[in-house]
Amino acid sequence: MNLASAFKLSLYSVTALAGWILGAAEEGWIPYGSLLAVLVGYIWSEAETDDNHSRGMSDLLASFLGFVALCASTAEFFSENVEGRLLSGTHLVVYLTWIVLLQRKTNRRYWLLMALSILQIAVGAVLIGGLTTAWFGAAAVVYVFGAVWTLSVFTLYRSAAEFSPTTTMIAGTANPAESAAFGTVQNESGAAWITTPFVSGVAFTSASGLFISALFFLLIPRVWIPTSGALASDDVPSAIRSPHSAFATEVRLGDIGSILESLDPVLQLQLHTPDHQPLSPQVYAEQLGYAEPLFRGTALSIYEEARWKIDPHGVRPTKLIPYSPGTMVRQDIRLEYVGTDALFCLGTPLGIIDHEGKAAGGLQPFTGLITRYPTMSPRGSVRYSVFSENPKPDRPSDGSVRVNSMIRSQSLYLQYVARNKHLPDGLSRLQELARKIVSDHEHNHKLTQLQAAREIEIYLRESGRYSYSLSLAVTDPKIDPVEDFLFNRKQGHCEYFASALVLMLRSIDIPARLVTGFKGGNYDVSTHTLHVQQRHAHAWCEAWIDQGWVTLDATPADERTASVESVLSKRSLWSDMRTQLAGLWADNVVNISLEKQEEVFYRPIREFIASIGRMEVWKSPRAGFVSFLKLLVSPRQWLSPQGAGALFVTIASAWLAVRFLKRFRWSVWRRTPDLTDNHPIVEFYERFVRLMQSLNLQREEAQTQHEFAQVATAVLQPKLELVGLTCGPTEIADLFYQVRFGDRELPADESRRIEEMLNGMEQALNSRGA
Amino acid sequence: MSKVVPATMPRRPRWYSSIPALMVALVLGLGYSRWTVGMTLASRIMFRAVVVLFAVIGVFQIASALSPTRGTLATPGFGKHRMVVPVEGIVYLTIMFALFTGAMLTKSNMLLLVFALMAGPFVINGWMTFGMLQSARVTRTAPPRAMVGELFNVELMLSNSRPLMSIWIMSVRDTIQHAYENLTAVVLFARVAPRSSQVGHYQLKLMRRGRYQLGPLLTYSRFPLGLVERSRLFPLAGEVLIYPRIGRLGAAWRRRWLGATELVARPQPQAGVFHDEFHRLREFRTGDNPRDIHWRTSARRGELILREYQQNRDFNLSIILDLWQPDSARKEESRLIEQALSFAATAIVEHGRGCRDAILTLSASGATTFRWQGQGTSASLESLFDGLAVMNAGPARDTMSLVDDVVYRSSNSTQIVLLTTRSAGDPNPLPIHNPRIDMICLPDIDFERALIFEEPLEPVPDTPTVVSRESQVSLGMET
Repeated sequence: MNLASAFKLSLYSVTALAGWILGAAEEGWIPYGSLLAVLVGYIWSEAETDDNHSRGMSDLLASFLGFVALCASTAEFFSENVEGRLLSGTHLVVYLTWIVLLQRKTNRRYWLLMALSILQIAVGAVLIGGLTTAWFGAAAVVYVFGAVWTLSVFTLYRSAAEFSPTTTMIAGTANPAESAAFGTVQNESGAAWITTPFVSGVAFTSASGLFISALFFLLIPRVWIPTSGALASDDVPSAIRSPHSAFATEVRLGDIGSILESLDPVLQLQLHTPDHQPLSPQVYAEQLGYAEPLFRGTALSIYEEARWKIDPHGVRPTKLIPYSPGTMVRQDIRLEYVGTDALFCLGTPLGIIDHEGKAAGGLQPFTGLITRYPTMSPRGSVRYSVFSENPKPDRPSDGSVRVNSMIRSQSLYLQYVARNKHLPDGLSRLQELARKIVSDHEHNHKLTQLQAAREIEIYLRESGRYSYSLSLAVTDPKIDPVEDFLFNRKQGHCEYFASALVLMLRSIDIPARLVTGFKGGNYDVSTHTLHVQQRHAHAWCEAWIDQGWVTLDATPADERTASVESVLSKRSLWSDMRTQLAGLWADNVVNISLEKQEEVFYRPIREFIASIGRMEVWKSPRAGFVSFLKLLVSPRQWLSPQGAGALFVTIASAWLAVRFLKRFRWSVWRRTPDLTDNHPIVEFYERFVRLMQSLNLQREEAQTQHEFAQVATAVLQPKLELVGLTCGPTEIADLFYQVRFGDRELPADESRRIEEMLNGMEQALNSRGA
Repeated sequence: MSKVVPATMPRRPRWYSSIPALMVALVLGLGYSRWTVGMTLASRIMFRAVVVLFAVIGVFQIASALSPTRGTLATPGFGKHRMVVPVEGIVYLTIMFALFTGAMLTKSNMLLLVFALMAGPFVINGWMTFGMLQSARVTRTAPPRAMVGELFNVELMLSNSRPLMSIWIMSVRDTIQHAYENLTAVVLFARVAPRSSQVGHYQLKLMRRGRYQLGPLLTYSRFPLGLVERSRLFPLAGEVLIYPRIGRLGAAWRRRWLGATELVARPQPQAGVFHDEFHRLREFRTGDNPRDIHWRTSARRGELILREYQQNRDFNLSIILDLWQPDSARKEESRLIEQALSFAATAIVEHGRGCRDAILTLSASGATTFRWQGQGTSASLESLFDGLAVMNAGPARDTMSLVDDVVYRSSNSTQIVLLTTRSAGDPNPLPIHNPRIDMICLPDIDFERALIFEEPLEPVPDTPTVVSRESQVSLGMET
């Protein structure tokens, strides 16, 4: 394959890859159109015509189409919501890519294509969301390899094109009247440009580029630019200020699906009664009014474009200090890091302490989220103890989340409750369905809010119309996913059931919110420990009824349980690996924060530098040197950090010393005169040579002294003639021969005469007037 | 052709230019613990970054100022490096900047990831280009002399001193400067393997007589990504001396030249035009001319001995070149000067070729005076051509004194030719009355018949103006 074909194929492939990545990120069909455009562009516009020019769309047509694309994007911008506005920009980039693909190609347009493909990747990064985006990372790495390869081949292509016969003038055809310089190409491989060393060089460039990219990404401090007001305090974990859900602050419908297939541990729970006896979580859950142990995360109130978000108007968490721990159930919990700063427990917490007995968390009164305090590790697993109510067996709790009367009477809280009644536009069918369900059960009397809510819950859970599934196939992408679930697909997991219930409750004026957390777990009787894994993640609904948040769960419980259990049977090496990768991706890429950087990078670096400062060698060089030698002579210690450091310092010092010695030897060798060339130096001739050198006349290697004298005479004749020394150079050359080769010793008067002659020449040649 | 920065050396920074940066770093560093009280972690990190930035700038400046050679202490060879960001690089950087700003504003790690994926290859690109230039060494081998219109090669050798990294797609640009024109030539080296050299060449066809200065050499590359063009200057000077054009004399002029020999006053030996010098005595053979018998020797030896003569055309030639030109020379007059120099050089070359032992003399008068004497050997002619290469036309005030001097010095066997750029009808003609002098007025002769070139002699521009030309590229290749 020749260079041009290789370059064009690479460029079109990279463009197609960018289109595919954008399409997968957007989950729309428009970016996938780039694949077709790439195919057409490559076959049509890159095909050479008879006159050796490429075909393509004319500039006028391209401008017109560009205008049309701009109009289409503008219309999309003004007709859609926030996401639609972003998509309008995305689509504009895609349309422009199509147009450039079909245009007649120049180097600039090739580069434009490359720039547009980079923009597609960037837009794809914006569009993609959630934790399950590891594929994007893999695709981006592949894209980097492809892009570096394409740009490198492009550089070759342009360089070769500058020297190609079509753009150059052959020496014989140049205008004979004008001076001309004719450049050439020196290629050790003949006409071949893409060679094995080139391919390996590009691979090295890509790999090292990715390494630097990783450093950039991990080390750039996440000091986000505040979008409003002054810098917010970064010392307090962000979860304290803005509560997170169990999964994220924003949940897109379907995101939970992959979590439901993960076996990653989330928490371990041991329950103790007030008299320190082990308590079964299932029993305690039933006492609390739940069918299974329910670990509450946060409540999401705002629904926009298939995304649930938290209500932004929160208040500061209240401190949870156990006032009478001896009368409460104690929950000892070990929580793994699950991408959130929330703490989980069964029921409503009345106090939380860490292993040192200090207060460990606070309760967000609006959402009921428990957030950890800065004293606890923001990352990694944490241990804490929660004290919760001990319901009497004869008076079990109804499972509702109680809100303090002081809080619920606040206007802020009333506003919060009112916001949980908001129903987005475009859900008319859902509204109709909710009202129909309620009206079908209102035979003679009006249902209470709780009854109405229960009827809808039962409709979704037990009517048999809807089944539990982890499949996320969309039947009608034009309508809201919840309506798609309710009327078309009729299959979904807990997120869909919960979302449908929340929205249907809002349709009949009942404030409701979506709650995320975990439900169930594996109880180990021998250790009295409940093990909760990611597959136990769950979403349910809370409705504001009778001054409390009533827990409603529309998900078919049996089907869900079967699905959760089936995850264990479907476990494979690939799924484990995928889960691990997704976890790594989520922890280290999507959710990386300044706190984590501080913990993983900055602090260790600071400590390392500080440890260098504390090294013994600064206090006592001798003792330090001795310990250094000890490290070197004991191979067992080479694997320790200190030993590895000492070994590295030794090897680096040896390498530097060798390098220095080599340079030193070279410079000394260069300065040493060649002793084998033991010629006597004829002083007057040396002076003559120096004089000539000052006038930019240098004797060439193939030139004899006599020939050099003739050249000097010819060049300097006008000046020498003025002082009557035209024959001076020749005479000096003659005398040089006599002295150098004839071993003649010049008499004093002749030496003097030559000195005078050289003086005269010097004067004449250096004088400005001459 | 890509844009290349001018070949000028950078100004060396002064040591005191580092004071402001160091002072700011010092003040901020001393006040760190006091001023960062109550600051957030992010603010403290930014504060530290600013302190480090100022300190690095200060140290770099002071290191550059104190280094014994320009910039070698801080960044070896940095002072000779140049960087140009082409449009592609600007677009790339703009996208990077937009992504970074967007990521910081929207708190998007994913956007920051794309930024990092762009930044990594960009940094590697800069490091590779800088490394390639650091390890590159260029030398030039150019012929010291050439003739006007002669196509010749200049060799450039690019060496790579690095043990592991190849040099890729590196162009070497040479500058060729003359008083009246500037040219550039580019040689592209596709690859130079580690610890090896490659020799490339460019071709020159120079149409002006005189000295052409070569250099400096500029190596530059955009490899691998084409986003940044870095260059390094090698102040490697060279020179090519361009001789006047040498052709061959036309048939008529050749005859005139030979005919002129008959007019030279010289003793004629006995045996006619071509048997003019006694060579040796030998025995008589049948068919020999009896008139050549040397009777005295024959009598002494008792056999017929013949006098043998040898043909000898060697006669000395002395050319006086009158390079007269008015103050405001026109195109035609400038052309006459070149014609005169070519004519004189050709005449001497041809005469030297025919008469190897003849003494050849050239005296030229123009802006300055030039005298040369030698024989037709190449070493001897070289000095003549060197002189003619740099000879300039002018008022030629010394012409008459040169004529007198040549006539006085030369023997009767020397043919004297006066070659002048003045017309015979010139208002101030040269007062030449000596019949020994063959005066040739160039404006009055048909020069195209007098001197024949392989390629027609093209006129030089009327007024000498500095012309700059980029190199054309030849020897195309498959891509």
